[in-house]
Amino acid sequence: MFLFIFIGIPLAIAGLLPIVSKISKKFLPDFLANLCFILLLAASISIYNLWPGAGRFSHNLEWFGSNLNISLTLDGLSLLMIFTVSIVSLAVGLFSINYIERYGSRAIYYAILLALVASINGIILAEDLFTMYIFIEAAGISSYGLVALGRTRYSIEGAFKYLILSAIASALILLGIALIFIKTGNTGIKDIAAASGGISKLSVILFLAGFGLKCALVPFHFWMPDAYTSAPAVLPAMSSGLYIKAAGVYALCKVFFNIYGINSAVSSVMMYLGIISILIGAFLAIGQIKLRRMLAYSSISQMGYIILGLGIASPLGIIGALLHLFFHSIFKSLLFLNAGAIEYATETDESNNLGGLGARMPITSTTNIIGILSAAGVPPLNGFWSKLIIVIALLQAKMFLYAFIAIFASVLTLWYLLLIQRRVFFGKLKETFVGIHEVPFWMNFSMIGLALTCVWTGVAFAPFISKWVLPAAGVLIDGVKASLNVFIIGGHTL
Amino acid sequence: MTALLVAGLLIFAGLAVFLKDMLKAVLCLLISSVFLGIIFFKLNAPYAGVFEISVVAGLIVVLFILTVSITGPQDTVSEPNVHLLVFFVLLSIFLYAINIAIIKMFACDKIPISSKDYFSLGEALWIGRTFDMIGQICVIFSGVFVLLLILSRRKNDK
Repeated sequence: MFLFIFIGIPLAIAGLLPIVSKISKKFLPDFLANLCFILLLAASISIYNLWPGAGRFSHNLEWFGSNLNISLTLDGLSLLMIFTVSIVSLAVGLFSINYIERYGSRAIYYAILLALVASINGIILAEDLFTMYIFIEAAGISSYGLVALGRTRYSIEGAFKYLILSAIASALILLGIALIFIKTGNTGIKDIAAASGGISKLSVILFLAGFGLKCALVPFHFWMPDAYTSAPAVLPAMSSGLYIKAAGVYALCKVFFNIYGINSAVSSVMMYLGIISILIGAFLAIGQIKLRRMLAYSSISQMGYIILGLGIASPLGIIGALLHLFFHSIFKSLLFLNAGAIEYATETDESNNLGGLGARMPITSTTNIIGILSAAGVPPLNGFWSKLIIVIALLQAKMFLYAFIAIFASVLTLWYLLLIQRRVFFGKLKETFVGIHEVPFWMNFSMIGLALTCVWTGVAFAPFISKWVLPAAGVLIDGVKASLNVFIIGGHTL
Repeated sequence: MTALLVAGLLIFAGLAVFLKDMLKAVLCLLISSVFLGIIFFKLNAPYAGVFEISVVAGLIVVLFILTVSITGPQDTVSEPNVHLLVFFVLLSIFLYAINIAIIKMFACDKIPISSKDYFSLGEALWIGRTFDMIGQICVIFSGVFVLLLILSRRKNDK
């Protein structure tokens, strides 16, 4: 029952909100949605405290003693993902209290957001590929809604493009699942992994393309900049922070590590896709004027790091990738929320039209610089450690060129992000913006919370790795069937 | 029975392509996906049937609303007749290519199924894949909320 609350509670409140909004249009939707996010965060921390640190925990839901045939599975990896979802969704929920005023019905917005959170949690906790697919679809539809929440014609166009490409990805994934079902007669992840006999090679390609589209790896990346530019800032924060990671990276990990068992061919393809995404994402981000478009390209580049780390398939590479997955969720959500705050205050997100906002918006400026430095991998902020571990893993595997490109792209990231900071916050304040002031309380509160998380996880990264990331990495390393090497950082044995 | 379903599927799929009224075209597509869902059931693929009907239907509702939002009621789609001709040629080639499969489908009036594997619609939903129902509730909720959101915004715009 405990695991089911991650899906059941957000879904129940989502259903309730349109009715509740008849009584109170503002307070109750804000209160209920954020209470739900707080509960989910508290529940994920409680589960962590009860967690033995290894193994899997399957839970069958019962109703008055009869089995409901609802089975959820939690392992170290899904626990890390659930924790990530809880943190980012709470930050987005709090940010929305002030931000969403301009976007129409509050109750419907929160209902979509909660449905998205429930669906993402469903993807994470599902132990069956077919169930995972349905939750991926549900999360996709909620995302289209958030893209279309914007008031412009472009946002509807962005949603349409997002929908069509996402539908193609879903079709590829469904076909992959069908091929597996034909071969094994099963769709349960554990059962397929245990099934003897070869698994269709075509399904490997289908999954790679389908999940690649979902997590916007180059060459499947073209939907992301359009969708993120046209939508309200909460969508890219949720999508870049959570959706593409759950429906893309997490599902990819489950399929390639826990079902197929990663081999050298798949590993090489993942590394190629990863390194190309890192480079192309970084280069495309450089020329961008629109803040969110640039951050979208930056997301493509950062997703490349995660896939590169997973592609190495060494224990250290996997640890680095999972660490970067969590850290990227935090700092990229922060950066998208910052972009939303800038747009909220100035009503533009084109960096050329901005300048000198630092004096007027000191909190947004400070949290933005923390996000930028984390994304670029500047010590001691969190992004530094995850990139360092990925680079060390590459060096250990004697992949010097990949390591060089990873470091080079990190420098590029610092360059284009600092350029944005300078254009937007430094210099002389433009006359048009003389009257602007800092964004409202809850938006600041949310951004400060995420910025502090960036600093805290950067400073206390070693205990974070040993407590949260190691059990998660263990799940994938079991899939690779490799023994965990002993690696010591700051006295913590990994 | 299967032949009738296949005929219904083809007719409504064809109408979805040919109708110029967007609303009617999407409704025809919706009906054709219901036919396809029933065919899946007849072919002893209840899961595929359930998801064809619910997920695809859910997606189509969203697609429909988005399409209306983009084009607006005053926009009309005009296509030269040469497209129609090309479509018929391609359709004929496609039907010829799959004719063996279609003939087989028409030929067997009952698909052989073992009693052990057979699920009725209710069983597939409530016994076979209970957890998936939660996912489907998510799909339906999301579709309805997106619809409400876009409709309320259009009302405000007016």
